[in-house]
Formats: sequence, structure tokens, C-alpha cells
Amino acid sequence: MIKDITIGQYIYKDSLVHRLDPRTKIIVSMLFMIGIFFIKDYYEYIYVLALTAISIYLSKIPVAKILKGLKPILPLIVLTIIMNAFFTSGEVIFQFLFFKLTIEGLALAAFMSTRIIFLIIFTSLLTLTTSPINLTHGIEGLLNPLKKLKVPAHEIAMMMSIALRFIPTLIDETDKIMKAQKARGADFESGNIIKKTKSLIPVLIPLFISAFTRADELAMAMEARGYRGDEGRTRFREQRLQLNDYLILLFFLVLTIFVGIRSVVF
Amino acid sequence: MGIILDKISYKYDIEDKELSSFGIFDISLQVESGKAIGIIGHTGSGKSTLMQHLNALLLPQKGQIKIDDYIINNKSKNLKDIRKKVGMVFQYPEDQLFEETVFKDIAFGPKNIGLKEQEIEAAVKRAMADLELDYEEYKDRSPYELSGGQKRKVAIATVIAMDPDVLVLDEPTAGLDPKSKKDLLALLFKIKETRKLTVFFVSHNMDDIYLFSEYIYVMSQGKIVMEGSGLEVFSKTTELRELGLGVPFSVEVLEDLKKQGLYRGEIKAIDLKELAEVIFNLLGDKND
Ligand SMILES: Nc1ncnc2c1ncn2[C@@H]1O[C@H](COP(=O)(O)OP(=O)(O)OP(=O)(O)O)[C@@H](O)[C@H]1O
Ligand SMILES: [Mg+2]
Repeated sequence: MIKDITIGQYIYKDSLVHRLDPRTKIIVSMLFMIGIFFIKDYYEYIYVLALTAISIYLSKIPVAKILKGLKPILPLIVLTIIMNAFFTSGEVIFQFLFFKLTIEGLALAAFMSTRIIFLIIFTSLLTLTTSPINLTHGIEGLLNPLKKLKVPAHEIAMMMSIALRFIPTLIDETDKIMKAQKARGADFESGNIIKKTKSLIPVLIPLFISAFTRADELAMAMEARGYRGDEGRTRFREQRLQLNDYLILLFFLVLTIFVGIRSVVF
Repeated sequence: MGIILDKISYKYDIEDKELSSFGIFDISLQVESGKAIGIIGHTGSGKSTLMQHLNALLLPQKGQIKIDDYIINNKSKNLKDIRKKVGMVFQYPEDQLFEETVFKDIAFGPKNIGLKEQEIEAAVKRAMADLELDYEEYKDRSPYELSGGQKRKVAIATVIAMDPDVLVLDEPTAGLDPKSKKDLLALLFKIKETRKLTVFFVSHNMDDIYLFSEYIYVMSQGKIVMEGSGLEVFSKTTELRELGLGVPFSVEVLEDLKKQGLYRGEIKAIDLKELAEVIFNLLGDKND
């Protein structure tokens, strides 16, 4: 169901990972993304697995919750497998027209899909352990140096935080309206693609209307409380990196540089 | 004939142990056709969750529901029949309106269950008449330009137009002004009589619950913790207060009178007329 979407979903737990500075977590996620591309051999994923498992364990997020987050990207994984398995040249096992299934292709498919799965799992830890507000504060913090180049860091962060803030609300709302229309006999499951798309009209119209009403009310409420952008705005909680942040940043930085150099040198 | 819930359970979040305490647990109840059933309980006690099982919007993870000849369990298919049989009015039902005209919106349900052109028109006319919406005046207006109360009526008409046998009302008057509230409830229970419906009525207003329900279930933390007639349930004032619930106005007044030593009788829910009589008699005693 629509409720299964875990992107942008924050789960509160009292854990080491939750307490890290959002900037640390964003940088670590990026380092992980870079690092994983340097991995050449299949057996090296054991280290990635260990790293991911330890991170999940420390974050206290239930594993089932994280695995459920993989569901929406299943089509992407399947596509990757098919593309790699059939369009890599090598020793042919099986041929159908111009599709050739090769041993090298199968190996590559397994390798690539493992990479995607780890990428998604690790980065979803970022959104699962960081509240949307903290996430955007983190992004704003990292973009801050670019303000000198007239990059509207604050506005970008504010737009993102509002969008993120309303994802769960919109999901709830969609769920509620879908239920209400189902109760009126609407059918979202059967029929061909045109019929299915058409059946969404009774959901989309009320959804848009409520989204616009909400946007209007939010703008009004923000103005009423004196919001006028970045200028002169102070924070309730100033972000400051702790010892943990430095240690973890250092660890990941060294690790990434190490795998990077190793892959270039060897 | 009637509705039987046999040990149904539903947990919202099965993966996360800490969150899986939300939902409903092991609920059994039996309701005769044509009765008005009141459901009360603190916010988050599972009332809406339970109600959504009655027309298979949520399927029970354990147990089964029997409504006349239909059985709902975790494998149920072909839910259209059950949706036709059980009409469901949600909290703030006007949020679901989407058509250009009131007529089209009310016709949405009947069309979905496969009625023919003329039948649809008849169903819409009848539903609008039931809710005292003038057909000629409203049928071509946009549902979005109506007042809150009128929108609510149109939204309820969309459900009534499917001609259900069971009607679930989940806080149908939330957000209306006191007079509209009273009028709408009176109207709804008039419809219950003329259409011979079984009604489930969820409300936080104990006076409404006392006035309109023949039998009451009290929910707390996903379970039914008390049941009985209005008289029975509302005489257990301490237990209700422990559950974070109120009592009808008359019970509150009688309790107050008793505390002040003016009233010595039994504390129970009565309607306002009887309450006036009690007070009148008390005044009489004093004047002697
Ligand atoms: N879609 C959902 N996902 C997860 N948990 C939910 C969902 N809907 C409800 N819950 C949880 O289930 C419990 C019961 O909710 P429910 O809506 O049935 O309560 P209710 O008695 O109708 O409350 P109210 O009087 O506020 O309407 C609550 O603790 C709620 O947080
Ligand atoms: Mg509710």
C-alpha cells in the first residue's frame, strides 16, 4: 500500500546515530556513495555488509523496516539485473533473438544490484534517523559557504523542509481519501492502465485542493509569526560538531581515501 | 441476521515491536439488525480502526466478521458487495467531494455499484430528499461553493445514495455549530428509522450517545472494556472518568446535587425533561 513508502520517514529512537550532527550524517552518506564505487571484487562487499550492519545496529532501527524501504525500488533493481545480464558480452549460456545471457553478465548483474541495495539501505538510514527539520538544517549548514556566491541556501533549505514535512501528511491524506472513495465503491485495482489512471481522479482532485489550502494556511501562519526569510534569523539550537562526529567523519574519510587510493594504485 | 465480530485483531505496524501496540485486539461483539450502537472511547482507543473493518477497508489480521451472509476475513475478495451493504461516513466526509456538480458527486457511489441511469437518478433524488437538500436547487451547483454544513450533507448523501443496510457514522458532526449538529443528528436517526438501518455511531459527545444509541460499547487501548445500555454504562461514572471519558450532562448535574447533599436518589443518565422534574421536586421539598 501507499503506506509502505519509507522515503522521508523518520523513526525516533534514542541512539548514537540519531544524536549525530545531521551534517556528519550527510557527509558520511556521500562518502559511502563515493566509496562503494571503488569496490571491485565481490568478496569486498563483506566489509560493506559489516559496516552497514553495525550502523543499523547502532541506529536501533528495526531491520524489517529498512528492508521494507527497498520495496519501491524493486523495479529499478530488476531492470538493472536484466540490463546487465543480457547486454554484457562474454560466454553465452542462452540466447533468444539478440538477447544473450552471459556468465559475465550474470556476475555483473549480481554485483551492480548489490551495490544499489547497499546504497539505498545506507542512505535510507540518513532519513530514518534524522528528523526532516534537522536534515534541512544540515543541508543549509553545508550550503552556507555557497551563500557568498549568491546561492539561496536558506530558501532551498526552507523549501525542502516544507516539502519533507508534508510528505507524511500527504500520504496520510491520500490514504484517507482513497479509503473514503473505496467506501463509495471506487475500484483502484482492476482494469487496464487507462481505467486505473482514470480511477485516480476522485483521489487527486480532493488531494490537490487540500494541498493548496494547506499551502495557503501555512504561508499565512508563517507571515503571522514574522517570517521574512533568512535575514536576522537565529536558531533555537545551534549546531556544533561533537567528538563523536569528528571521530566518525575521520573514520569514513580515511576509509574512503584508502579504498580510493587502493583502487587507483592496484 | 445481524453483525457478528469474532475475535478480530488488527495491528498497524507489525514490524516494529514498540509501535505494534496500536490497533485493535481480540474484539468480539454481536449486533442485531436495526439497532443503533454507540461507540465511545478516548482519542486513539481504536474506534475508527474498528469501524473501518465493518466495510472491509481494513481486513482483520485475525478473526472474522459476519454481516448477514457475508464473511470478512484476511483473505476476503470481491469487496464491492460489502461496501454497498455497509455505508461509511468518515470524520470530515466533505474532504472526499470531487465532482463538478452535487448530482455527479452523489451519483458516484451508485454508478460504482453498477446501477442503471434511471436507477441512479432515483437514488440521488431519494438520498437528497432524505438529507433535506432540495434537488432542483442543489443538483447543478458545485460542491465546493457550498457552506460547511451543506457540504457535509452532500457528503453524507453520497453514502446514503448507495442504499446501504448498515451505516457507520464516525463523528459525523465534528466541526459543525451546535444547531447544525443537533439538526444533522436528528436527521440521520430519522433516516435510520425510515430506511431501517443498523447504525454504528462514534462520538465524543456523551449526551448524543446517550440520546441516540440503544446499546453502547466503550473502548480503551484497542479493546472493548465496557458495554451495556446507556443507563448501565453511564451509571459507572468513576470507571468512565478513569478511562478519560465524560458523562452526560444530566449525570453531572445529579452528581453535583448529591455532593451538595440536596439529592439522595440514584445517579443515572436521564433525559433533560426528567432532570427538570428531579430539580423541580427538590425545589418543592425545600419550600415545604
Ligand atoms: N494509519 C495508521 N497508521 C499507524 N497507526 C495508526 C493509523 N491509524 C491509527 N493509528 C493508531 O491506532 C490507534 C487507534 O487509532 P484510531 O484512529 O482507531 O483511534 P480513534 O479511537 O478513532 O481516535 P479519535 O477519537 O481520535 O478519532 C492510535 O493509537 C493511532 O495512533
Ligand atoms: Mg477516530
